[in-house]
Amino acid sequence: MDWISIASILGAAFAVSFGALGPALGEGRAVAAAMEAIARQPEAANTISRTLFVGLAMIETTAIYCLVIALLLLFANPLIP
Amino acid sequence: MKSPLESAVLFHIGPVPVAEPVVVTWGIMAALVLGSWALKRRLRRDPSPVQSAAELIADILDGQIRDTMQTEPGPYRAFVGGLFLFILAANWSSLIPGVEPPTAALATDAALALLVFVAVIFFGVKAGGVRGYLGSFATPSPLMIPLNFVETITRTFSLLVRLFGNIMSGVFVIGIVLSLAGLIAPIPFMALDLLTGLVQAYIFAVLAMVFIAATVAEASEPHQKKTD
Amino acid sequence: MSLDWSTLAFQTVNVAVLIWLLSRLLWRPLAEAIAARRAETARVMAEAAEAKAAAEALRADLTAEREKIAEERQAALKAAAEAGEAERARILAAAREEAARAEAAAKARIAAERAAAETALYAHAADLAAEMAARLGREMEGPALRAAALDGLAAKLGALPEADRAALAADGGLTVSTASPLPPEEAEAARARLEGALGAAAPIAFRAEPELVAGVEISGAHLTLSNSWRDGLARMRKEIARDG
Repeated sequence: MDWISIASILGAAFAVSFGALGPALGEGRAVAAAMEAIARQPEAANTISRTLFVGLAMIETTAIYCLVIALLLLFANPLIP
Repeated sequence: MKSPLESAVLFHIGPVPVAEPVVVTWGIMAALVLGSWALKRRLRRDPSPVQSAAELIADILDGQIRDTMQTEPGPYRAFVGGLFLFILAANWSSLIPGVEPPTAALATDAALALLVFVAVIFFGVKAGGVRGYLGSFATPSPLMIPLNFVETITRTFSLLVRLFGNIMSGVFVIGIVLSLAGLIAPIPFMALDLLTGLVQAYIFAVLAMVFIAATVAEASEPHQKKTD
Repeated sequence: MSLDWSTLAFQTVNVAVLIWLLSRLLWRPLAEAIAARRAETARVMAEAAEAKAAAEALRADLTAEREKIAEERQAALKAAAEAGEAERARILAAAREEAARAEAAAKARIAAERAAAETALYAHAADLAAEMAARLGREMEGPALRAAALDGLAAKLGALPEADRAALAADGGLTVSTASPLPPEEAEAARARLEGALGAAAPIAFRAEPELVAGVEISGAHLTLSNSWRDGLARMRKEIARDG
């Protein structure tokens, strides 16, 4: 196994792990804020949940980007012949 | 392990290869169209339970469009509803054994994102004309033109990558678990997959609505800076 | 990575066609069905509202009718009450009148009775008084009284016309009645006196007549001159009775 493969695997692992960190923190904060808002205004729960889902999807997209990068590194690495 | 970025080619029509997602999509299309046709034939004034459910879904869809786009749902119902129904059916097609959802293939998601991209242009031009649509890039100021242009491309890509990443990762994880453990283990992941599939279909439709609504609003409002 | 262009093209066309088909087969019929049902519901609601309005109008009519009936009833009651009141007043007036008439009649009867009683009383009183006077007269009967009475009679005789006096003297003379028989000397004096008054001699008879009570009565052929208590009492009784 050459260095490029090793670096690709490590890069994929790092991409997924760090890519999961940030969105996790961000989603946690978003959900907490949404819960607080729903507790304060239960009648607005519908709007808040919808906005929350869209926001979560947006945040999660960053993690998905990292996952895609990792998969690219593993399965479609242009550097590996 | 099979690469999730590639899909198997099942057969060729002449020189054109027909991949597995295309065939599954045809199956989904056939099911949806036949179901719709059967439903349409049985539309009555006093509705059957199926018709009631369909009307309820249509009503919810109208309500969502109204809430999200702040406009009447008429012109957008078909596009948004069609997108949602297809993505939902495609995501949940993973329940059929041996079927890999078409949305787990990059080409299908790219096609969906491309359709949204085209639809944004179409509805923007329809609302404000070519001039109005191009003017929507200059909001709030002409300095934002490059940024808006880039955003139009990137948001299409993010749409594509989000759907692809979510569904593909679900399929991937189930494949890994299936290869590791036996029969029962993948079931929780499949249940999670169902939820993810529903949420991603909803989010895809909502984002399409948001993009269209933003462009329509910017295109249809008069641009003083340009007309002056 | 390499995008599968043929799959992309296939999928784009597929999804576009699917969206179009669904719009034709699903969304449009559903929207039309919903719109039709909404229209139907709105129509039914409008009809119901119309029917309700009609019912309301009918109810208002009925209410008005009922109020009118109540008013009429009230008026009828009032009229009846007024009629009853008038009738009552009339009956009352008639009763009052009747009572007044009865009272008046009773009063008149009482007055008549009282008058009759009074008359009877007067008569009785007069009888009593006459009786008393007669007794008194009898006790007072005597020469002095007779002389005074005779004087009066003599004066009356003297006042008669000459022819009458002559006729009296000629036709059988005079009868002098007294309550108690005159003593002879007194009879002589009386004879003298009467002859003097007549202006001629005439046969004079004397007679005792206790009914006279007291006094003297001279009766001739054609006339009677009386100066007796009997006459006086009778006159007085007549007067009293007339006054009473």
